[in-house]
Amino acid sequence: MKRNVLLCALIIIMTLLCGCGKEGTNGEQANSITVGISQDMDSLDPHIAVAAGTKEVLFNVFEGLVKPDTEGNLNPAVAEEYKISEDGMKYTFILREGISFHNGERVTAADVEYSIRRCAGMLETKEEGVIVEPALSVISQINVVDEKTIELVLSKKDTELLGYLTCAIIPKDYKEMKSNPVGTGPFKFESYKPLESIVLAKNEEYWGDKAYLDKVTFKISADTDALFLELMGGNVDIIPYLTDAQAQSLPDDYELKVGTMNLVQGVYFNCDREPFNNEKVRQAMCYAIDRQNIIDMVAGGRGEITGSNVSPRFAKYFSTQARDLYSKDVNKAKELLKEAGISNLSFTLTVPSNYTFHVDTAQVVAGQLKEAGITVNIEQVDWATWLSRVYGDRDYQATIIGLASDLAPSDTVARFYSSASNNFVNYNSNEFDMLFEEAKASSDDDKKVELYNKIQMLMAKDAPAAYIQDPALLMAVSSKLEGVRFYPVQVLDMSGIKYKD
Amino acid sequence: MRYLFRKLIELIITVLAVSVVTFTAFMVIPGDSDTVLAGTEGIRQSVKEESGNIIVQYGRWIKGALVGDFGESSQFKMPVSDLLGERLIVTIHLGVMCIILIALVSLPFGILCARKPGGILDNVIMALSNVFMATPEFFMGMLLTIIFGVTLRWFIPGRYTSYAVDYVGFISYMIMPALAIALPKMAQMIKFIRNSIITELKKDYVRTALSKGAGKNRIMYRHVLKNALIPVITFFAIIIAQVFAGSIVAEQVFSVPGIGRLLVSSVLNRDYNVCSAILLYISIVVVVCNMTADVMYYYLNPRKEEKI
Repeated sequence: MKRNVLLCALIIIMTLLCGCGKEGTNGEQANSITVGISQDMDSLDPHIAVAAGTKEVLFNVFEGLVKPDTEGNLNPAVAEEYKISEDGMKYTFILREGISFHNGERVTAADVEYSIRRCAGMLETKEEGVIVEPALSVISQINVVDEKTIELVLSKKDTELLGYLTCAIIPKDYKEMKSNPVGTGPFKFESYKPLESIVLAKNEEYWGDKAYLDKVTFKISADTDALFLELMGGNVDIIPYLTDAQAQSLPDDYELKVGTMNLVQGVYFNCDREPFNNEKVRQAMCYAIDRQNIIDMVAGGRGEITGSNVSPRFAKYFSTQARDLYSKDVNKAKELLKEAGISNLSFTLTVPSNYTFHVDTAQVVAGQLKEAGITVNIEQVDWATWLSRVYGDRDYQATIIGLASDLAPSDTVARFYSSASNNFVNYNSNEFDMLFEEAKASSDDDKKVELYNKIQMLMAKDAPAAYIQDPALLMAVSSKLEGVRFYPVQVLDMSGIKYKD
Repeated sequence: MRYLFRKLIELIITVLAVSVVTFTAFMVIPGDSDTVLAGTEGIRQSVKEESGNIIVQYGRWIKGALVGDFGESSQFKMPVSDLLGERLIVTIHLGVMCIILIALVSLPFGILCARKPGGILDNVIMALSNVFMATPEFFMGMLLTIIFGVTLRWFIPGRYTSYAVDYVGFISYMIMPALAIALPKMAQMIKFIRNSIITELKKDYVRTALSKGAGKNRIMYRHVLKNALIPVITFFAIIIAQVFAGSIVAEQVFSVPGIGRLLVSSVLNRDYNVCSAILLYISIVVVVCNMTADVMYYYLNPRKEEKI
């Protein structure tokens, strides 16, 4: 009897304790939200952080001389205005009046010089871990004209440099970047705990439109499944990346917002390896694959078809001709394989196991290729192995991955340049290299569009990859909130979000 | 005393062997932290240099480990010992809560079952035990979250509060993950206790006690339990080790920032310093638990002496 009483008591205590935890929910700060993310920060220093998930969050804290808007235009941010000299060799920036860092210090031309030098790898002492942006290497000289004016002198003409000047402006020789980062953005850093959360607070001194929310907590969860359970339980207000299945079972008090991922997913071939060193085989693959069917099967029909590594978001640069070059034609595929003298084609498709989306795509692709008599062995490897073996050592036959790019159109195709260090498909075409150089230096916009169209056609024809789609970005947002903005770059802009009246 | 000494030597050798395996294992796995973090994006400038051959490196590592210095985490850019400290406290809480839950539940239920083997209560509990034993921790965790978090709303999934901020809130959040780990272990433990008692009840001395007129309760608590629980201790030690391993899964499902989650994230990001420190910690826990069980077994039951 006694024992039963004890047991009952235990159960009651446990229930009570569970109840306790619940009370806290309504007492939270009114004007704050929680955003669920599943990737931890790799660094709080914007010049060291590379993980896409970190950059997304830091977008709220840091700004460059210029900053992208939702349309992909580059607007002055830390700079108030800029001038490009007639010959395109000199950029002059005038800093914004009265702009200061989150620690209260004024932004000076010296800070800008330091930041750009650091990003470009031009500082005298190299710092461990700092990512060098190769595109900034065209800057040969940085001149501080006065407190508020800075001049960049280029070694050769590059009309797309501005796209890379979004690199974060930070205080000169600031030592606490890793633990207490300060920038000029609409939110300032408040706290960070590994595996738990990063908290941002409103920057009351912001030079532009101030944020609506007082506080944003980015809650770091172990994985997207755990995150979705938290959403079902009402702990998070926003989850940026949902799977198609999750999007379909979203609770009533959440809305689904659809953007684009701004990357290109495709089956990438190793052009130096059998059997894909033969152009005909690669083209056969393009004919054997049904892109719309893939989108329907793995993404619930959401996603935009692409025909090259340029995403449709680059509106005027995007070539519809390249997109429509291939359509599913099994006979044509078989014919091409015959011409190449290959029968019973079989190859290994290596996919990163942490990306369910790519793994699912691989299954569908394998099914489609079977119709053309091609056998696919899907090999799943973990992300680190993928990076070192496929991306680094280029030791693979074919793979499925999504490739992201910056705002400059050149960035989308730069990795296909024959000597590019990240040309993991081993694409080698003189014609491409020449067109690419020409496009990058071209200052006439119509000419540029034409050149990029040519490039895309070439990339479609040579088929170093069977490009599939720019996938949809599915975001769950609490119905209490409004003002979610999507950008043509991968960011989580919190400054426009507010509670509905 | 000699026995204890011998066991201690064994312990040190085992831990050393484990440390060698842990250290060399990472030399084999492809990938390194920098490439993982950079992804398909950039090329990191590195001014770091690795000096010395593998033995020298191991020597340096073990020397640091002895004074609690495991170097810097490549993923979080902070000393591993700082990173571990706080998370260790979380996981130890989780582990201790599990063990308390297991002990509190399995002992009474085990006795209850053993009293009337084959009775209704015994059948029901045994059936349930079988179900729980067959349920993996991650599934149990999700089940608990859906039932208590999403449907009943007894707790809010993911709303973890740090022990430093709100201790009661912390403990109450930890109940669910603790339960997720403990339930399958409880089931095992109940079965084990039950069988151990039943075996003991069949012994001659029980019959003798009964014929002397001793009450059923007296026999159970004074004589049988004492003997029946000796093998249970060994089993319990194994369970404790499993609990700490199980916390890896539960921390993942419930997003608890403990050692387990840190381990998973450091493996995926090839953060070797963190990884090897955690593995060393886990192996020490397992080895120490096993040794304690051996020693207790030895001292509690002197009859075993001749066998060793």
